[in-house]
Amino acid sequence: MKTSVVSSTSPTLILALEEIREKLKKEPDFLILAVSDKYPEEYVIPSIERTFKTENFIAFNALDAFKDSSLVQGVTVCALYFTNSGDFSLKEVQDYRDKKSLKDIISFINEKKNWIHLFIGSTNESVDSFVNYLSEGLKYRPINNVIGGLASGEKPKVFTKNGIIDRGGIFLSLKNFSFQIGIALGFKPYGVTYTITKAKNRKIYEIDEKPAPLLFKKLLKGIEEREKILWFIPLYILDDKEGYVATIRTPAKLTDEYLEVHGEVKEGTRFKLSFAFPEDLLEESKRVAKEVKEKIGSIVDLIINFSCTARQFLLDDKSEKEPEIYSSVLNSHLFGFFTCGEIGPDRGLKKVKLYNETSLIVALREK
Amino acid sequence: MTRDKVLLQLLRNLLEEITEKYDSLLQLKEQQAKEFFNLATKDPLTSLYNRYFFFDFLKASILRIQREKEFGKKIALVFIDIDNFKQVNDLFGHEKGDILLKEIAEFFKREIRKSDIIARFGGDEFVVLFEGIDITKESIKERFERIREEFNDYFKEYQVSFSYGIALFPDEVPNWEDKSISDIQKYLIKLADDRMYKDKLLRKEKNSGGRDGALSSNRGGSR
Repeated sequence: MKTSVVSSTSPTLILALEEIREKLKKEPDFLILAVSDKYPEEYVIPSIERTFKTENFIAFNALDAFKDSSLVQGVTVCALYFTNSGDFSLKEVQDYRDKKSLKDIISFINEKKNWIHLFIGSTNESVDSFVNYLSEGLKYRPINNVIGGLASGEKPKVFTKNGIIDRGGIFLSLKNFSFQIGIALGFKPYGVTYTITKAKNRKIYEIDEKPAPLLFKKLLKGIEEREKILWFIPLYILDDKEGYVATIRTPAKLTDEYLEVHGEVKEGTRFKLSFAFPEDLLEESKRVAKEVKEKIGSIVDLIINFSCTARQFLLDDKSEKEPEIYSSVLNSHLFGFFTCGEIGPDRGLKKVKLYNETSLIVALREK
Repeated sequence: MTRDKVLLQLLRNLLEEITEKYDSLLQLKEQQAKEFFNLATKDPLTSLYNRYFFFDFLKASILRIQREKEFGKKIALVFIDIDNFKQVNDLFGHEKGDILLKEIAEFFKREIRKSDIIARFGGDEFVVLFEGIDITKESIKERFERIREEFNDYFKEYQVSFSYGIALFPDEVPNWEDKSISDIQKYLIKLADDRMYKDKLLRKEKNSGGRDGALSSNRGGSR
């Protein structure tokens, strides 16, 4: 497979897409587009269809996207040109709660266990139960071929030829590919163990039988900026031993009543606060890139990277270093974007999980 | 506020939180340890040491004396049994009986030095352990006669008194060097208990017309 990752930061969507089409020269077999939410959502689908004259695409909102080792706030396109036996299939989930379409997808993935299934979803609380349902439905082992991320932005959405998806997502399944997944974390737990004593879905009301906001307000003492600063010290879940890496829950919203995190939490869960310096995160990314290279070999057609928005906030001026590490170690084009939750296999390759503050990569090579 | 300053402040807050939490956890652990110690060693009704702790302490004392026999240290074990306690329970009920036992425990605690050990052996029986160089049977007897006088006066409302027996180690344990610690413990307890019983009978006969005439023995019944 040949790939091309191109971008434009033109303030007008149609101009950005035209600029990209110019750069691509050849008509691709499939397009993946990361579109900043600064562009009006109603223009996304018609503009893509008019510019590229194809229905073979998926698009989604992303705060920033990666074009190799550059961060782009505009439109970034990954163009796929199959040169051997590669092929693709698209499966939409209009609503994460729609069990019927979920069952269809689960049976599709169960049948196509040698394909790589890439998921891109809108950001919505129902994604927790969707991931759990999907995980329970997959009957083959090892589950090492499902990976994805949730779109990012103000109101992140997914765009397909059939319309805008704001409560679900889409699977892009690739046939006849060699692939290898890697998951990087880099956080270490510190201090004492806390227990979540009252929680519902993503909201934590009590920790050690005291109002949860007390702890986090104490941690924010003397700091003006609020929730984002808590991304530095995410909750490191101790009871979940199944994660490929530890399950981290990133604080999303702090009110007087609760702390909301990016992912489901259960009562009785024990956690520690964790911390990482940018160097720790990059060191882990390097380790994972090398591990992936060792497993897939030296020829890689494309790397797709799903990297948490919070992780990039922590990396700050070093945030371009991470995709740079991946593309240089694996010696390939890289396409990726900032996510609001990452989906990948667990440690035993028996389940899929929703991760936070991780960086997931999949290295692809057409057979 | 620059990013570095924010980060430093966050880490400072995190450190404060960890320190605070560790302090409270340590306090809790200390408190729990104290509670566990009390549960394991104290009698819940009277808050005196229980018989298990008493035996541990007695064992340690015997070992110490064996180890340091050149210093001539001695142990006096006093076995106490409350006279007429059964009547208190019968007349006033068990609740009142428990209150009286607590008061009796408080009374003995006041009378016995902090360095000596008093324990509730069971029911209405108590044991006291003295350790020192200048201990004689006479000095202990003299002390307990005075304590009994005060006791009788203090609890006259309930018509209770106490009988006691003393046993000395090593003086009164023949061939103690060949005996096991457990055998020495049993021997001392039995000796003091037998002497307590003799004391009870003697006083019963001697004062058959007086207050102590109401003495009754519930020997063995409450252990």
